Amino acid sequence: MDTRERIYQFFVDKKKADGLTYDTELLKSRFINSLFALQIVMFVEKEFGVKLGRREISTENFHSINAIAELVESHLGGNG
Amino acid sequence: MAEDVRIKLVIWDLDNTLWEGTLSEGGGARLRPGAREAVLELDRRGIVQSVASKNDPDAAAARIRDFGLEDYFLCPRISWGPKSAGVGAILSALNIKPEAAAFVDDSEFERDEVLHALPRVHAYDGASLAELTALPEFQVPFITRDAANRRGMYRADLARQSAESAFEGSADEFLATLGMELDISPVTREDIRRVEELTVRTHQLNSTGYTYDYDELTAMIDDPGYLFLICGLRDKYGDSGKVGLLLMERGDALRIKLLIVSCRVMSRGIGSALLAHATRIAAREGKPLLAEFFETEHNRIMYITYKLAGFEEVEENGSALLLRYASDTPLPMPDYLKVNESQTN
Repeated sequence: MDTRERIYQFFVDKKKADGLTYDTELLKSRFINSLFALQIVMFVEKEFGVKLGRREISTENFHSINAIAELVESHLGGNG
Repeated sequence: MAEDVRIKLVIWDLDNTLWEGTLSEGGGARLRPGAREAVLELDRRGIVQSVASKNDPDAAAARIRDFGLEDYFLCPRISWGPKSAGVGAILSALNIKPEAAAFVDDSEFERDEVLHALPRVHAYDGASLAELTALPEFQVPFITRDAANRRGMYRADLARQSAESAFEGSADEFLATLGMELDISPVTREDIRRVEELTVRTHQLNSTGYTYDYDELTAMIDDPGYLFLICGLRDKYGDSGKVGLLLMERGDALRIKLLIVSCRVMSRGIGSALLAHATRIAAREGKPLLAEFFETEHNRIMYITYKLAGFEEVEENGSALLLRYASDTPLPMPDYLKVNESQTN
């Protein structure tokens, strides 16, 4: 699985993938509330073994699965 | 013993600790001197209690009922297995750290077995139960209404946990089944002890860690320059008591000084509800909303809550940050809880 697929799978596991695409605006929809926001940050750090800096936790970096995948790949050297 | 040890949970052995003799050998007819008094006194202080005993579970539970003490012990673990497993299971069910737990057992072997697996638990022989409850680590500075109800709250938590693990669906869908009601009201004098307790006891869901003394807190209640709110939470399992605080300073902007949610209700969306409430008040007063944040090693979860709710850094001074809500639209209230707002000051 590539980065986006692994992130998508997290939403599937949490039973929140109904109607979800890689572009879906996460923060303004029912997909992420603050509870889930915490879970997704922790998931990203654990799943991909990255430690997100304070500045990286932002609405821009978490606004869609594509955005989260870009953030992850910037840590992994872009090779997913 | 270190000064800052504060026992929140006491786990009792039964044979020759709580009662006289060994149940499986015909003992257990009488409680030991001071046992009932100790159990009732700890309960009154808001220290929760459980049992880890090697016994036949049905016979031991029946005997506890004969003594009328069954309501005092949360998730007892009675079996012929090692007590360390029982103690560990109780700690995880109640979400209490080993360093805040006491294990009372007359047997040195059992104490050592538990301490070997869980070295941070505090073990006592319970030779004198009156002396035990008089130890400094078993004292509480004051008894709030929330402390006195703590056993009932833990019991409700256990019921909620078992419903959640049986639930098939998303976390939000589960929360929607709880029928949560959040009562937000101005802090009153009767709340001050609980406010102090929340500011001192809460580390993870605490945005700044600021503490205020009794006089400062009381002064802010009457000062129109502050908006000082406390919230209580109820659901179909019971009353969780006062679980959250929101303190805002009123100037050209509203400035959040404290945002605190009790860790006991973590993962139920109370922090986001309070934050949504703050954005609504700011919109109502036509003021920008700022939030002070002081980063500690424990409160990253609060930072994430602010940031993904749309707050942005406007000032940064080491661990001290000033955040600003970067939208004109108030945050939506989570749809799985109902908010009741009483007259704000």
